[in-house]
Amino acid sequence: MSKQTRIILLWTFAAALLIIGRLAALQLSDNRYKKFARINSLIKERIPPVRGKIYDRNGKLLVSNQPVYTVYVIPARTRAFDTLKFLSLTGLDRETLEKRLDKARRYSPYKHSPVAEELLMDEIAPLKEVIREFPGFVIKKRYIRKYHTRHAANVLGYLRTVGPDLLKKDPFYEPGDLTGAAGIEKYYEKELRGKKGVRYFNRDKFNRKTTPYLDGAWDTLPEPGKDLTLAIDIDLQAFIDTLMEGKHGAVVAMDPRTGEILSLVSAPSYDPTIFNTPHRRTILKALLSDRLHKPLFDRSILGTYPPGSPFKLINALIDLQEGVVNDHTRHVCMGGFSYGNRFMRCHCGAYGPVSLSYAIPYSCNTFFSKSYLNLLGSAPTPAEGVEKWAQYVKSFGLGDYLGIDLPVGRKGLVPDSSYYRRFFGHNKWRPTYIVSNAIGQGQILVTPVQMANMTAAIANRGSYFTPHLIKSIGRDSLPPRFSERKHTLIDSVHFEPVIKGMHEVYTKGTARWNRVPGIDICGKTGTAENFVRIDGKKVQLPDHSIFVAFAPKDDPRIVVSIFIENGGYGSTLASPIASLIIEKYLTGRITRTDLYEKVTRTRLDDIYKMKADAARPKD
Amino acid sequence: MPHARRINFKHFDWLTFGLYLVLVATGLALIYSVDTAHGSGGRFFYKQLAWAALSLAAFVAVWYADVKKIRQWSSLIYLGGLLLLAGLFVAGKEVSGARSWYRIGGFGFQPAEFMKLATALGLAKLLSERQFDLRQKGAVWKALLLVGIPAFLILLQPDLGSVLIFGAFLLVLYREGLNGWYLFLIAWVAFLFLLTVKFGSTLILLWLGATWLLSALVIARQIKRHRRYFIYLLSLFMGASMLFVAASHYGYTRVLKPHQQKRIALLLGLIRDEKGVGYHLKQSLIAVSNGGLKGQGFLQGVQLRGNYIPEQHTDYIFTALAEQAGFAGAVAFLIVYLLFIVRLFMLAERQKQPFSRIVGYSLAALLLFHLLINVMMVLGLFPVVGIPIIFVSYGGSSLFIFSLFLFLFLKMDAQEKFIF
Repeated sequence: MSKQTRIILLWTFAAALLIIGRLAALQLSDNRYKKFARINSLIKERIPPVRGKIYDRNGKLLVSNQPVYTVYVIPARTRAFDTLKFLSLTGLDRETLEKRLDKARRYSPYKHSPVAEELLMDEIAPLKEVIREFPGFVIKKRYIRKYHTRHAANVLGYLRTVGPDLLKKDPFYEPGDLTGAAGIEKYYEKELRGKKGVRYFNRDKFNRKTTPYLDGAWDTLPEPGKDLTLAIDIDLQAFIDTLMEGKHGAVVAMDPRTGEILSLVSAPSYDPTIFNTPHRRTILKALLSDRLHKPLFDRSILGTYPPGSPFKLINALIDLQEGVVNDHTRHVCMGGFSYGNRFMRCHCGAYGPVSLSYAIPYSCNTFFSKSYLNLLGSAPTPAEGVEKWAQYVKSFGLGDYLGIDLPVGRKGLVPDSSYYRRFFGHNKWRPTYIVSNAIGQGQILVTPVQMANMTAAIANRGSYFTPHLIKSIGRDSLPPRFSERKHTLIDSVHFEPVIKGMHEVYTKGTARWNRVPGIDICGKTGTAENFVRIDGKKVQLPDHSIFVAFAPKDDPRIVVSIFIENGGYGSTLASPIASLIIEKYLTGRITRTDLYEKVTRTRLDDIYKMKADAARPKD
Repeated sequence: MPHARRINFKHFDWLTFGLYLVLVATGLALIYSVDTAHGSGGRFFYKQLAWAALSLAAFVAVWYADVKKIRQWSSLIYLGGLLLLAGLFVAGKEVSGARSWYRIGGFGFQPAEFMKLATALGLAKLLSERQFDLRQKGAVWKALLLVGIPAFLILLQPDLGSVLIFGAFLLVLYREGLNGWYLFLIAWVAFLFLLTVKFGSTLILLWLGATWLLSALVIARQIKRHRRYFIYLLSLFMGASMLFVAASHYGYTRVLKPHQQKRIALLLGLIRDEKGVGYHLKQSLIAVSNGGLKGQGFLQGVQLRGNYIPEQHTDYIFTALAEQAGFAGAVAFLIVYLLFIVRLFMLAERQKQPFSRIVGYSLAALLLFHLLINVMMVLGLFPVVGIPIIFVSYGGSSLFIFSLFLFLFLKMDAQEKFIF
């Protein structure tokens, strides 16, 4: 063998060693390429679970699921097809179809891309029968919600497609999934959505599924979401909706024994069945742009109002607890109360000494104002006095989120000493400055659901449960926080005179025209002044009509709180509505159909339109 | 010699032929596995089987032929090959940007494959001329021209891979007396080119300049006055190198096509590209890795079954082997193939006639180049170029031409023994 050949063979040997070394590095060690091989081999397909259904407290189905169909195209598999027929079956126009096919081709010739809008079962039926005539097109099914009630939209909420934030935060979701966007759907999203199943497939380089991996040994079935039963009585909710027609405001009905919310009405609302179509976006947009009615604004939990006279009940309790009022306390009312250089009118009609048992049913401003000043005066400084008062008020759940099972809420406002320090300056205010608090007209703000809870605390003689909409989650027990009894700072003995007063509101006081035969109702009317600026001038609008009530007196089974924006005196609208609700709930029917007719016919659209016009910026 | 064409059965080198059969069978098995896994319904397998049968028919024909006569026909065959190559520009069929094929009916034919045989014959004819001596300058140029013309025609197709293969003939020239410095120069040039691409021309120019100055200083001190011409020689070499670096830079950025630049840059680790060129390499490396020690088994393997690797039946056939047969199988295969090549080198060395020696040597060198470049490319040690493993990769032209090539040489070998 020649010298040259030996040299060549030597180099060949060196190259062979290099190759074998490289092979050893790749094949004999665990390296990143091995991991890629595992990734390459599988397609993980997640199977969406069925979302839980929602029932009302009597087992009536409120929300279930319905299939919608989307036409997808796999561009590589399409053949020439009858375009006209396809267009007429899908309702597309030629231009849109071509644009989408083009987009699909650019995305991937082997993957699914949607071409048509989502269609409901009966809309897709004609295409489904002939889909084989269109190779490369497939129909895929997915589920959206189906609403079986026209009421309680604010409670139920709605679904939307997950956004990029949630996609990043929660690995459960894949693009295109639906998630609860409001109401119960959002708050109980985790319970409702269930667990996704998984299927593994072998795949090829075009990302096509080939065969089930390990014949499906790793696959899991989806776990359906839990069905929810709500505390809501949908018939009562519907009944209240009819009462609230043409009015803006909120009604909350609760069972004080459990904290269950029987009805949570915000008026005006919208009919949830309009979401029974795949085209949620346009509907949502229309709802959002209705500035006059704000149908998506849940006034029952987001509306903050001055509580008005029902707040006198709280003040009475505090006064009794602190001893500034007792059975023998009298304050003279001569049609009003003057403090400093101001005068507060009173409509109690006493013109003489007034006791607590008179002040509650006739809603005497003078009595509560004087008592409030005495309360503040009983402390070393007004600041300490108002602080003590605020602690009592807060113990009724006011000024804080109540912990209701909805994703949104408002705290309202209970002014305390630090608030007034900021408001007036340190030591720069006197008790008379804030005397409006005595009649629920000062800085204090509450939401209707807080008012209902406050009333429940009175009905229960000093305790309450966190208001909640849920009655049961699948077969699980409720979170313990909903069955935990909370106590106010008022001793239970002090409730009896106040409840007696509330009962007298019906027997002889402001609500005496709304008595329901056979039911002992306790209530309190309220009237809250409100103003709006029109062209720079402060204009007083009709008062907010407010009412709180519970019944029956000795074994309360329902409390209601009612706010009607610009509804006038508490006794004109809110009080009759309360009595109708209580009658309907406790007896299952209404005897006073003429009253019912009168209430439902009352419409306040003109005032609201004026308010909305005033609020709209001038252009 | 009335029976010059007939040879004694036992004078034929059956060991080489046996190794050949093992390689072809391995190739068929791999093509079958790729075909089956990719669901192409045996399209490639049966075609390759047909070509293998045709090759064996050629074996029978060669067995009875007087192959010594081929020397007289060599020049004509060479010229015919050149004509076929040139004809591509007129009648060739363009496949993915290159005119490398004739298409006659359902069959494709690659004249570049034929040209490898034709060049070997032409070169053997030229070098075996009695008065021809590679130590003479003119002779070197003649030989380089003979190899260079077909290489240039192939470069115009363009088919860079096949041009690289023609480098195998440099080994033949080296064996036949070409100064080793030529090989060194060529290696040096390739090295400089890669360095320039990797590190940029400025750095390499500085490095060359510094080396030049330093060595000149050392030589000036160490070497006696009358041998100062060494410095001039060094200066010439370094100057030429620096010029070449500048030219490489120009060539790389201006002359090479973007996809070729990409392949070189990818190899040198200058870019990461997992979607384009890099995708093939990545998938190829995944397949090799996935083989492990013992392999995934025949017809098994994620990469094989998933149809991830482009051209797995031709240029990337080695990945099918590495994934299914693992490290053990891949190394065994390399050993068998290298044994086959070494055996051919030995056979070539034992030829008494320069003509048959050169033919054999060319065959061995060509097979070696194909094997090494292909495997190194698949393993990411060499830029991606389209080169098959002869006898193993799918491809009728190369299987048939190289089988014929092998049989011609084996017959020459046997016939020679018969005569003496």
